[in-house]
Amino acid sequence: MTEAVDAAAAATNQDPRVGLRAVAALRRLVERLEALQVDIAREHGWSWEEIGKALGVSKQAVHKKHGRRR
Amino acid sequence: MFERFTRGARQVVVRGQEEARSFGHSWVGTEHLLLGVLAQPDARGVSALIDLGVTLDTGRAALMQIVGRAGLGDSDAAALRTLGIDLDDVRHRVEAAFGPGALDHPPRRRPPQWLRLRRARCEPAYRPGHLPFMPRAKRALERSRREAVDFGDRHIGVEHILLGLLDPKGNTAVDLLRHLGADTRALRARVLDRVGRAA
Repeated sequence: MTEAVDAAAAATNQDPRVGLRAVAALRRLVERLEALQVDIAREHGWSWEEIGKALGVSKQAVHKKHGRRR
Repeated sequence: MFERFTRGARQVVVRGQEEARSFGHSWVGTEHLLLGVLAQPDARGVSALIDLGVTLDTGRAALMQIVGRAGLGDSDAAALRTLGIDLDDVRHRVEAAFGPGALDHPPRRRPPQWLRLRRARCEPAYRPGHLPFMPRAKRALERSRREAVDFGDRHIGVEHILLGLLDPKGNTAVDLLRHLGADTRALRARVLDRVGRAA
């Protein structure tokens, strides 16, 4: 854990290229996890409104982003 | 488009689709077609790549690094490690909950029945497993057709596809080759040399 904290501290202080790359990777990971969870919620019969509420965005936003995905 | 393709050239396209799918990608790009070419090391002109150390294995590894599996590759894993996030651990947890490949292969929702029926009616050739070609992959195939015409060849073979992929305007296959240290202009000359054409 301390190792991870050290690494995080290093990344936040270091070369912006390293930090920005980490942010980009994190964003991709978040996108994948969001897509996965939204699909599962839909399979469980959740409405777009409920999903939006859980994600902290409007139902329109979540539907626009995930509604057409297959 | 594919009528004049040789059996080997068709195999490149089929293999490209398979490679794309194995990476969890939802498209066929020039990078996947290049892997399709590399899957036929004995085809005309391909030895020029093999000699430079560009093989199916090194090609796949390079693709993993530059594009990654469904957007999350080795370089993403390295970047996330700097934040103390172990991507393999995340993948492991997600797969434990939702099954193998859950993180890398977005679960494809089955299209509604009306859409499936309409597709079946309007597009007889539509197959659910068929991945679309990216514009630059289409461009590469068009370039390969022109290469064949320029050589006065009646058929489009693996060597023409390979030359078509070496697009001076750039594409992911070119990026992948550069990543492996291959200079695409020099490579074109070598391929032409192997197939017995002057550069």
